[in-house]
Amino acid sequence: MKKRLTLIVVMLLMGCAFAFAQTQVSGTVKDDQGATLPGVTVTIKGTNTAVSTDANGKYSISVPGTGTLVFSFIGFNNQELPVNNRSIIDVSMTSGNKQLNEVVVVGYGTQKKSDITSAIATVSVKDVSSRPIVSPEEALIGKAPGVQVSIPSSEPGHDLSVRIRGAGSVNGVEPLYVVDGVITNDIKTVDPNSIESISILKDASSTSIYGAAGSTNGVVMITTKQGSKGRSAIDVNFSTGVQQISKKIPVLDNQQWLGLQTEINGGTAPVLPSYYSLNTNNNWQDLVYHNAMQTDANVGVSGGSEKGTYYFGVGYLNQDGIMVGSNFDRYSTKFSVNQSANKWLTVGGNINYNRSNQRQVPQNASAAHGGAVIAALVTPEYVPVFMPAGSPNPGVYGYSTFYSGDNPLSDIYNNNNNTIANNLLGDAYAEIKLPFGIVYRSQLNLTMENANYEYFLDPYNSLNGIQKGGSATQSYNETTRWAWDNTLTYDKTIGLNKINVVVGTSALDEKIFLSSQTGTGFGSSAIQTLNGASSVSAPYSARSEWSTDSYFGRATYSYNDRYLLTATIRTDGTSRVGFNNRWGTFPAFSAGWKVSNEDFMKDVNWIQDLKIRGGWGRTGNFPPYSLLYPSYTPLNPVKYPFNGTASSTPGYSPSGQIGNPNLKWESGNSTNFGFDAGFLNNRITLTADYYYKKVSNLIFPQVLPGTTGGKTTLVNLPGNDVNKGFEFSIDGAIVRQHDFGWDMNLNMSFNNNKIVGLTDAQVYPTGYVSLGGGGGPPLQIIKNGYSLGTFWGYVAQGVDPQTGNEKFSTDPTNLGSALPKFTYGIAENLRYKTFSLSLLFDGSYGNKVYDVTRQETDQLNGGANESTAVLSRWEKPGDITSVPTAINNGGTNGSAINFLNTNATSYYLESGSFFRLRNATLGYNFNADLLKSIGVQRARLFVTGQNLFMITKYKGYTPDVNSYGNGTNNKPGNVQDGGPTLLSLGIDDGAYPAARLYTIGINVQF
Amino acid sequence: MRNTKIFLACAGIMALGLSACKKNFIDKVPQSSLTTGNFFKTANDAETSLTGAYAAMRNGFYQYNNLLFTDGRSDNCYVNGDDNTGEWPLENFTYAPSNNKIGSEWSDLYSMIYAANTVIDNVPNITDPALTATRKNQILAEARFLRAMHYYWLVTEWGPTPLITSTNFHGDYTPKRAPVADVYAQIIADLKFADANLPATPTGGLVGRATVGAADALLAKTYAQMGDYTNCLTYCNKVINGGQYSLLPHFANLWGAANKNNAESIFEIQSNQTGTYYNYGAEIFDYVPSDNWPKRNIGSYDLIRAFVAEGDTATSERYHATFNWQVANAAFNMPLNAWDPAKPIPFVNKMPDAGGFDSPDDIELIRYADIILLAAEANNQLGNTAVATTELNQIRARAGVANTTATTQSELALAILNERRLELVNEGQRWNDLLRANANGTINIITLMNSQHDSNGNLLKYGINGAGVDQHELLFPIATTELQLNPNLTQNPGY
Repeated sequence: MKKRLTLIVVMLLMGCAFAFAQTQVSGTVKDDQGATLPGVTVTIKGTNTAVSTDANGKYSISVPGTGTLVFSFIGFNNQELPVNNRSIIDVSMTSGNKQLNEVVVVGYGTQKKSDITSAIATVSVKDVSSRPIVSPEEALIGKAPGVQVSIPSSEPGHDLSVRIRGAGSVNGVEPLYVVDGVITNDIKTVDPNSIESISILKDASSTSIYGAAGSTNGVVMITTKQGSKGRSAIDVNFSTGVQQISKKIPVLDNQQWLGLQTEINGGTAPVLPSYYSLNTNNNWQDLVYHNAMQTDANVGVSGGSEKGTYYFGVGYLNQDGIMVGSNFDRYSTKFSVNQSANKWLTVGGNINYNRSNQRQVPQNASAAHGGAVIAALVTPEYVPVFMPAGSPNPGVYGYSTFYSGDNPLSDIYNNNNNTIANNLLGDAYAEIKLPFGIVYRSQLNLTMENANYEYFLDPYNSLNGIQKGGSATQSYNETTRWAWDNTLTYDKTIGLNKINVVVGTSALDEKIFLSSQTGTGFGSSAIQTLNGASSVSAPYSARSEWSTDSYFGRATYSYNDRYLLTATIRTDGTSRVGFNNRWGTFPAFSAGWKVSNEDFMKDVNWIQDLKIRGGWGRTGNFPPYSLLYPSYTPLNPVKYPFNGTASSTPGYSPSGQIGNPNLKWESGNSTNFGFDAGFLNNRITLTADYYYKKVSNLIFPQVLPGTTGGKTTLVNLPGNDVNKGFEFSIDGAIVRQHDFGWDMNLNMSFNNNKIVGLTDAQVYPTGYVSLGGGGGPPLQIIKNGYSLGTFWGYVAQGVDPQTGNEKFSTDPTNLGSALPKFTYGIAENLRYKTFSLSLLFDGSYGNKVYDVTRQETDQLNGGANESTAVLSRWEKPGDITSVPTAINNGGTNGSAINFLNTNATSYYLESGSFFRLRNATLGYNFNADLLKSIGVQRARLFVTGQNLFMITKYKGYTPDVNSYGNGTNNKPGNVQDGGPTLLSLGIDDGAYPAARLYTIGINVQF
Repeated sequence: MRNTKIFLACAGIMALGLSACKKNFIDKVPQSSLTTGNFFKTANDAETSLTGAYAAMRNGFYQYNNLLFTDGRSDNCYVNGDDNTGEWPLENFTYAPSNNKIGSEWSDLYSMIYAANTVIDNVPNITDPALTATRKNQILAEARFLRAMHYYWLVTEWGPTPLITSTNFHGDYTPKRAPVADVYAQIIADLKFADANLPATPTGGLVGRATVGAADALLAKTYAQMGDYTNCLTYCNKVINGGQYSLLPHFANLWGAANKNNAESIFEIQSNQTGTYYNYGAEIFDYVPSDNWPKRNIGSYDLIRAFVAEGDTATSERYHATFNWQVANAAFNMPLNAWDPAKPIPFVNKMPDAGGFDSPDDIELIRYADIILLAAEANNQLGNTAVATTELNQIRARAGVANTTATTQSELALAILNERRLELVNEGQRWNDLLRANANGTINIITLMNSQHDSNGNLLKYGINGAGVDQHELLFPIATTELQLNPNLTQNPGY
């Protein structure tokens, strides 16, 4: 021990000795085209001492004459130059190899992209602040192979849906999110402007270090911005713009409506009550959709010294919806600090907080159930905004006496749906340098999300409100989660051998609180809280908790920068599964071979990089949130009248849903093969992967044999959910001139999903919709041999020219799947002098969408208004048309129309394929010298257009929707006693239409 | 030196991190809903879960369907009704594995067994000192009595049946059928435990609880069904000599809301208009002037003739309490129109207060007269004809009919069987009586069921295509859905 202490002292003295022989070095850093590069980090190798280049690419640093300088900049190769007592060192950075030299955030650590042996995609977020991106998921659209982002609803503040490599569970397909090491259910807490990088772990060899935590659907790793040493900056971003509905659906005018109704009524024109006038021509879509403002502003202040860095950001978003009455505003803040307390201790942490206020309009429902999107289509034009004098309810919002449903403005304004949410996500850590190069890190993570929902239905101004006497609901939910991670990291290079080992433990605990109560009987609309209710019903409050306890490790080894091996293992114990199966182990292995570093590749000059990768791993998926205590059988209160007398004795009897103490997580085995290659001086890079992902122990609610008493429980069935696919991404620097640059990216993902191994009896209908005022059929099925998202119904075989009736197959059958055959993204980035233009296209092919909206608007029945598609309906024998008759003679026509409107049929199933210009941004960079004179480092002006065009055959507003499920239900707010909500995809039941958005904005850095 | 300390400190923190994650960290139980995970802590929890096992009996089996399975299927009653897929086949002996009644009642019985098993599994682990060892054993004994009674019906109606004695399935939801002997052995074990632990009068004065008398009566009935008349007699005599029960002087005083839990009652399901469809069986059977749908279990022509043959009609309390002759106010569906639709027919009337699907009448499951007649049957089978005759005449005297004229053992066997038929109409006894009599040679059940006539003297053509009742139909089939859900189940022969 004494010997080592002496050694340390000697080393310290040597350090001092070096410190005395300092020289001042300065120089200019340029890129390979000769343009100066501001913001390049210049570090003295082996120290924390660093400076950045200024706006003109100049730097100056005090360095020992025998030291080495490291120049690093995102997107460029690092350069190491020995000082050799020079005082001026000019550097030309080479960009080419940017992809392969990035550092990528992986589970509990980082890896050099070039050393990665699994399937990890990184997404550039450089363009986030120069595009009107309001949620982190949006930044992923079209950017990475194997990653599909869909917009279930374009309502402001609505969650987006992310699917990685198909659908990895029957209970939900959302990935796991990890923000700065904090495992979280969603990332609404994160301001997209505060994101530094996103990496997506796609295969099990990269995700298995997260074990049973739901990683069969992949993991999205987000790193937020931290300050950089020796360089302070103030970034200000502002954008404002206007959104408008991208498409309207033509509907019948009053005379056309009258003609249709006359046919429906068997030739007799309906007689409107005298207080209605056919001269009233309310275009409900024009009244409901408006041009809506969107404003986004944020400021980030960052900096750092030798000892520490900081980042502080604030943001504000105010987004009006294109539907009147809908709005989302959000105040967000982000703070991070990292500080070296001494030679061996670094502490730091991050806090992300936001508060949002969302006002929703009713959607995803039929008009009779109050859905405003469908009401805007099916409310006849003669219906007045307010009922006129002489009507039964003068002054209230207009309604039709021919169909049950208020006009859409009533749905929007007579009730108030407000949610105020507070979201906090943060961590605090301490990192300690131990002997032998071991680093110990202890990180405490915290997420808190609460939402207070208030609903009020006015008692006087709508028919619905009058009938109910007004109604108010208040519900509150809060989810609090902490986790404590402890890791030891060992990193060592011995000759040609590089070793990195991480071992750690993690404990996680989440508490969920839900409460709700409803009041009715409001005498006045002046008081809109429950205080105004004359009776309160269904009060409810419940607490739940779950936890996991985990042990994990990863070892990577590389030899001679040619042969790479990675092995990981995680053992998880969790309360989420049955108590007989609490613990599980998740191993993974992967290997890589950098072929291009072999001697025999030295002479091949058209390939600069070539790495072949392969791996296998196992991951898990917790049982759904809807059943947090799967081991136990709920007991229902019952009564038994002993003595046969009036005083019944209370008792408890087991419910029909029983516990399954053997319930396990769904477990996925996945295999991945891929390669990364760089050609022609790395101006073209290619990444391609093939994968096979098999998820077993699928969790289903199962009706058990009668010997259990006919109970239902969650079971692991022996079937499999198989996703296999191929995906690739090509980046090309097509033109790289000083004044002109053109980069492009193309990524495509092919996925095939299939459920195998279930018995014929194990059939699970899902995707139940409510049609009109009643219930409706399940539109989808989970069944052996078919893809998830399979629509199951009758095949519409065309209109019989003699009867005018649609013909149908005799039995329901497979109508196609909501999962696409392939998806793709294309990014074009052009630069000419100080102008830049970027275009982002994305698309989907082969997916089907069930247009429930059209089942309401084209139903050829009832008194509602319909779309102009019904104008080509069959009217007399011999008519050749694709639209059936409206004539309801009570016989075969009546039953045919009824069949069409109460069953799942291919008549309303449409292609969901699309190709879309998601974003186009034109930017202008102000002259750097000019800016410098006013103390500005950089300034950029931009205009963007979002959703400028979409090519699709889809007849509804937008095919990129999903009114139900997609696993977004599998969240803490849906904790309840009951079975899971099985996955349903691609159903458009009056979903909020997509908006076209034009913005103008500015980015300024001081 | 300092580094070493740091290292040790970190190792300490790391270890702390591990110890925070001690074993119970991942044991979470529900906090806002009552489940098996957080219940069963106190003496009261034990009591309320037992109450739950009693309440579970108020389903379709005891108040309704089992009366179709026993009296309806046998020569006592015509099933009648408008359910031509589930219920008619019970009358016509055309039931198939797809029969929904047979499938749902097998499941109902196991549901009641699950409720009893919930008590049996969890109450032993309650450590609350307020729960005395005596009461704990009584609770277990009551639950095991209930379980035994449910298995009694499973084994007599389906034969070999899966033996489920715990709510912990250990992940195995597809048990095999246990041999009949094993099921009987479990019933006997449960009832002997009940016999050893239950008091003579119900605990806490809460009538409706199983007592030692109920356990002994069910033991006697079980042994009888096993053909073990020696043990049957032992337990009949234990009930008789216990002095806890007596025959009421008037048969009519056995029935109705005013007469529940009378001196003759050994075990009955308690009812008190707790809500519609808690106790709906009475409405299914009773003649109600306002109901215009066909009632179930109309007394058969053969049954009425049996009453007439014994002179047990016009002046008999038993006859009048058993039947309510009315002109049906709805179409009825009897085999070959066994009764004339224009004339009064014998509606069964032992739960006389229909109550709009919420009858206040208790459901009589075991009563003293049943045990006296069972003792008579056992005595006769064991050669004690004199005692048997005395016991038979005890019941006849109360019914107001003359002493039996039977003298030989075989005459007496028929007379006792017939007396049980008249005494216990629509009390769920006849089918098992016939099975016993068939087994000990008193009658041939196949011949008997194939010789039923309608009121015009025409032979009722039971069986598939009128081919007659077949031996295999003495046991119900295992439902098709059950065979699909549980591949380890085998079908009964003949189906």
